[in-house]
Amino acid sequence: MRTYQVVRSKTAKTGVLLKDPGLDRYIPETELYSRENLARMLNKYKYVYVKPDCGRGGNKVISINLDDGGSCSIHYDTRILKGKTVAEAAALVERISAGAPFIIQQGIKLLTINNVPFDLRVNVQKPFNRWEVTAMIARLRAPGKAVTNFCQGGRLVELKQAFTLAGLKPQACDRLKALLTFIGEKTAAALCRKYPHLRELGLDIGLDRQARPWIFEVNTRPQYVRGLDEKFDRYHRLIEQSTVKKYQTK
Amino acid sequence: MPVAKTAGRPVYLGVLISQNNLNRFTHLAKIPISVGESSDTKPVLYLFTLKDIDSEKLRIRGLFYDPSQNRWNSGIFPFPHVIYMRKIPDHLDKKAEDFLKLAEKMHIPLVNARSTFDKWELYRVLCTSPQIKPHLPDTRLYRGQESDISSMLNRYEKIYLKACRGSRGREVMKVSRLPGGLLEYSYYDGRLFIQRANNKCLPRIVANFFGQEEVIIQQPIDLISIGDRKADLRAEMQRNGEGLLEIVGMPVRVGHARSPITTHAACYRFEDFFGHVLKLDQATVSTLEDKLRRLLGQIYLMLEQHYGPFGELGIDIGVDRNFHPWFIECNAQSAKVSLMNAYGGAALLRAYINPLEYALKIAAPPPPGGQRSRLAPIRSTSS
Repeated sequence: MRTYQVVRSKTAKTGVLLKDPGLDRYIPETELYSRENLARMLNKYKYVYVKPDCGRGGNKVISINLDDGGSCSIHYDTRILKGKTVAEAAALVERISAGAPFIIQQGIKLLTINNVPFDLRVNVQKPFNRWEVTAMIARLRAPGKAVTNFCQGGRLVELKQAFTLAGLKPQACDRLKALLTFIGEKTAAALCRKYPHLRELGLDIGLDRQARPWIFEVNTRPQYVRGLDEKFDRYHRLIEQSTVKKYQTK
Repeated sequence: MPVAKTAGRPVYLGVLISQNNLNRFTHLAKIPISVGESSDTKPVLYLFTLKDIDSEKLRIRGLFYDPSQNRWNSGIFPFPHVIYMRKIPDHLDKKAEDFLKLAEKMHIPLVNARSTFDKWELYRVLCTSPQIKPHLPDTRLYRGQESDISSMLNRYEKIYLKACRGSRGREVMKVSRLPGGLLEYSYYDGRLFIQRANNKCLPRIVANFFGQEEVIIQQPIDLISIGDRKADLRAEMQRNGEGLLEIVGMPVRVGHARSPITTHAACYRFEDFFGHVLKLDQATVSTLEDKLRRLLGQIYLMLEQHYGPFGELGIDIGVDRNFHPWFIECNAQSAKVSLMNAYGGAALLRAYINPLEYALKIAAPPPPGGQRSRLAPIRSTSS
């Protein structure tokens, strides 16, 4: 029987991935939340995401857009607040975070299907002693929300169909799929060097308008959606059955 | 004629080539490689492409040179004891990746741990060495933001954008700031294109030019030049049959007038260029050569430490007007054209013998009595 390690902190996981010379290019710039960092990131990228360092399921995720006139539009849950200053945006973040550590992440303008942005969930599993990418699925943004999480109302679309609907050419789709597999395996290898008892990973990967991948976050205990893929289900069962102890590393 | 009918135990050296570059490598079979007089092993070299691999039966259809007939024949071979990659694989090529994974599982060593390098990864790896860092041009990863370019332009008057996996001078864009704030960008695509854009447009232009490629931004190096012809060095570094590191030659390549790259250029021996063309005194040339040899050794070992062992590398080094060496890039599959042009046929032959002898040194040894049991029997067919 094996152990199953869970790592909650996004900054800890991002730190590991940033140290890998082959993966750092796929990581959007990420900072711990502070008023100064928020102002700096907004000035640099105009569009950022603020989210809990140890959050789950897309809860408390805020997107902030800075327009050329210097006013912010804040998207939180289903509400959009327009015409706010950076200081007002910071005050809102602090009210939502209630003192818990939050992170600021460079926002990426995502590829869309019928003007609805989508991202990808790449599942990597280690049922025995080798990491394997077992399922990839696209997730359309939940209606009215800033996130694509399934539990928040995001809609699942088969990967190939999503790529076709997003206007990617067949050759680009194959290449992208190979790249996602490469990223999935490399991410698992990098994280596993630091956290050797990880068994399953769910990578949230966004594609920008040039269809370049960006790793938004890596879930070490990904939400399980039955029926995505036969192999994925089988490996998940195997991992669940062979796991004796689950423990968290912050 | 069956290939295995050779005296002694056969050691199979498989050379993986691309479908369309067979003719470039046929000379490999005629190279006299030695495995030591006392050894009873007999090297058997064959060429194959990815299409020739039968992963199920662990067999490969390869081309081998039959000296008795003075012709190339095709035959069925077992998986080799060592693989020499002369194909430029795409890191996302599924078939190549599967073959390399299988080779790893079967503990078949590769002459070179890597066939291509990613420029950003290479920079990050070399950066960790304090001895090498002063010789690396300032490099940033381009993240699609205008601020990435403008911050580098504020520091240097012009910058280079390069695709992380580009080669042979393709996918390189030069950007410089003009008086008045406009940017001038130029690139080579069959001919030289020079155009202008403003700060805000440039990210879109860069995205169109490089597409999905990842891009780095690099400071320019003020290379030594003869008139308006820039010069750099391609050091051919190899491990020999004893596993020792050799610098077979350091040809200096002088580019065409105003060309940003030195490929297809005039070539000189190191000592000829610095001693006779630049007319430096002997002491200065020796000091520079020592400095370069030390740096090249450090780079080679650093790359081996990160990626695994290499049998050969072609390392491009630039020297600026203060004779400070700068690392430019690294090639795991150097074509050795400059070496041939500058140092002649003897050096070229040495450069071909070294990796083959090194390959035999690291080859997974066959068990006494001949072939490995998992390998299929060998038969051959005339081509």
